[in-house]
Amino acid sequence: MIVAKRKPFDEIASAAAPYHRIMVVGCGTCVAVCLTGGEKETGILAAQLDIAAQMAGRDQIFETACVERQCDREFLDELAERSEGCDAMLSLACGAGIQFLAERYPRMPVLAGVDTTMIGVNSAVGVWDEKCRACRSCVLTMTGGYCPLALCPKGQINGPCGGARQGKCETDPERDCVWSLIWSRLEGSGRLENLSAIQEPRDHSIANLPLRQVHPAYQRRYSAHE
Amino acid sequence: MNRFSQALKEKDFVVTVELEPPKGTDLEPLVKLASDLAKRVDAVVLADNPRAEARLDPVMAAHKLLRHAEVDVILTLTCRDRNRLALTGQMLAAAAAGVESLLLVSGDFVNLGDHPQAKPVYDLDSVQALQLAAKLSQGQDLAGGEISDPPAFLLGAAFSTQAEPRGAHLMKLKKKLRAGAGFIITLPLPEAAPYAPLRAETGEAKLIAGVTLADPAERERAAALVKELQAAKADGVHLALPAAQAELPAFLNACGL
Amino acid sequence: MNRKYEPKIVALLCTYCTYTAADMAGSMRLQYPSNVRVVKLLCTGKVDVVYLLGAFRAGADAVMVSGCEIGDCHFLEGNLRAKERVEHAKTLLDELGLDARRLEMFHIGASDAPKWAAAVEQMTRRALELGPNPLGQASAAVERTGEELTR
Repeated sequence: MIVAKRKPFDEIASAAAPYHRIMVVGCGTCVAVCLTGGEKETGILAAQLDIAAQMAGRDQIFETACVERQCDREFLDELAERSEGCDAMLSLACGAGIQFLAERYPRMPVLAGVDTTMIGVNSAVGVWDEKCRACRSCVLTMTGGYCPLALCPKGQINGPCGGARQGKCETDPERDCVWSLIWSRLEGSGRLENLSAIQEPRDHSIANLPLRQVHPAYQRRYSAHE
Repeated sequence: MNRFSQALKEKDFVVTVELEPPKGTDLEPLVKLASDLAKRVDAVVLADNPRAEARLDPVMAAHKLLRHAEVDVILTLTCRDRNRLALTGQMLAAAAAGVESLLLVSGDFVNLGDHPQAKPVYDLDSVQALQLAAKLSQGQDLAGGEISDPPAFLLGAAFSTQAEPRGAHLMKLKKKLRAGAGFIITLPLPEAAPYAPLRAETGEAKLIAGVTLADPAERERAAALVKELQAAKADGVHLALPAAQAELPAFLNACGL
Repeated sequence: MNRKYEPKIVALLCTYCTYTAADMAGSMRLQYPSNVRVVKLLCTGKVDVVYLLGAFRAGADAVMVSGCEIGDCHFLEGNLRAKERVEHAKTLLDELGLDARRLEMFHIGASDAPKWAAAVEQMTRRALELGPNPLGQASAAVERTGEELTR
C-alpha cells in the first residue's frame, strides 16, 4: 500500500493560519492503515490545530471529514455540501488523493497535511518498509522477489556495487545490500542462472510522463475513435 | 597505441597511481605532480568526483595532463553524476582530448560525499557504462546513432575483493568482462592472498592490484605488499593516497618502483 | 475580579485497579486535593489520544491516566498500550506548544489508596506550577468532557 507520514505540525499550522474555517479531510484507505490520515488521525490533528489556534488567539474552526478514498471521484462528492462555507481543505491523503481532491474542488485551497513516503508493507505494528518504486517494468521474477530498483540506493540491476561490505550497503551499515539478499535466495532455491544475462540499460521513456492506464475491458469505451 | 595499453601488453608489471583533480581551478600543481610521476608510472588514473565530493571535471584535467605532463591517463567516469547522454558526451570529449583508457564505475553514493542532498543519477550501471563505451568504439551510441570518427577505448572495471557475497560480485565482474573490460583495478587489497584466486577468474583481462595507505606509518607494510605482489607475478599495482597524493613519489620510492 | 486558580484535573481510571484504589482512599478517609474529576474506564487500554487532546481542548489544566501495575492488567496489556498512547500524546502536546507535563500516566494497584492520593497531590502541585490551561475555557466544560468521555 501507499505509506505517508504526517507533515511537521508547525508546517501544517502555518499553512492553515490564513484560513478561518478549515475542513481536515482524511482518507479511509492506505493512509488510514498506516495510521497517518484515517478518521482517528483526522480527529487528532483537528484537535491539535484547534488547541494551537486557541493558544495563539487565532479565530479558526476545524471541521473533520473522512472519505473512503480520496482517489475515487464518487467518494469526494459527499464533501460538496459540507465544504460550503469552508475556506480551505487540509487533506491527509497521499499525493494522489490530495491532487484529486483539489481537482474536484478547484476553487478551494487544498493544503497537504502529509508527505507521501513510499509503497511499502506493514512489517510490524507501527512499522512500514519500502518495497516498490512503481518503475512500470517489474524485475521481481528474475531477482527472486527482492527489488534492486527500490531497495538499492543506486538501483543496480546487474549485480552489487563494490561498496557492499559483509552484506551491508555502503550508504548505511545497518541496511542490507539487496544483492546479498537476492543472491542468497536464488542460491538457496537453485535459480542463480536467473542472473546470468547482462541487463540492458533500462527504458526510462515509459516512466517519464504521467501514466494513464486503461483496463483492457474498457479500451473501446475510451478509444479515440468512439 | 597509447602508452598504457602498450605497457599492459609488453610489461610484466605495470604501475598506475591515483590522482584527484583539484576542488578549484588551478591545475598547475596537478600537472607538476603528474610530470614528476610520468617517468615512473605507466598511467595516472584520474578520479571523477572522488568519494562523491564535487571537484574539477576530470576530462579537463585529463586534457591538461596529456598535453603538459607527458603522462598517459586512465579517466574514471562514474554513473552517479551523469545519465547516458552526459556519459556519451564525456566519453567523446575524453576521446577528443586524447584519452584512450577509461575506468568505468558506479561511483560512491552521494550520501558519502560533500553534497549528500544531490540527486543521484545511476541511469546506467557500471556494466552498462562499459557497454556504452564499447559501442561508441564500434561507431554507435546506445540508441544506435552513428558516431563519426569513433574512439578506440581500452576499458577498465573495478572490483572489490572484500565484498560479500563473493559469488554475486564475481557474477557482476564477469558481466563487466563480457561488456568489454580489458583490465581490472581492484579496490585496495589488505594483503596479497586474495590476488591469485581472483586472477584465476579474470581470464584475458589484466588484473591490477590496488594498494593504499590508511596511515603514513603503514608505508613499510604497503611496500612489502607491493613486493609480494611483484613476486607473485601480479599484472601490476595501482597506488592511491587519497588524502596525500603529493606523497606519491616518496611512496613509489619506498616500494622500489 | 481575580479568582483563585483551582486546577481542574481529569483522571481516566481503570475500574479494576486505580478506580478501586480511589474508592478505598475515600473509605480510609485519606485527605487529598479535590481538584480531580474521575472518569471510570473498563481498562486504560480504552484510552485514546483523541480523548486526551479532547480533555485539554475542553479546558482541563492537567490529565492523568492511571492503570494497573505493569504485568497486572486484567486484559493483559491494556495498560501498556495506554502508556504508549500517553507518551505519543505528550509529543503531540509538545509540538503544538502545550507543556506535556500536564499529562501523566500512573500505575496504581487496587489496594494502593495512598499511592493514588499521592499521585493526585503530585498532579495538583504540577498543575499549580504550570498555571491554568492557556485555552482558558469555562471550567464547566471540563465537567461536560467528563460526561462525554464516559458515554
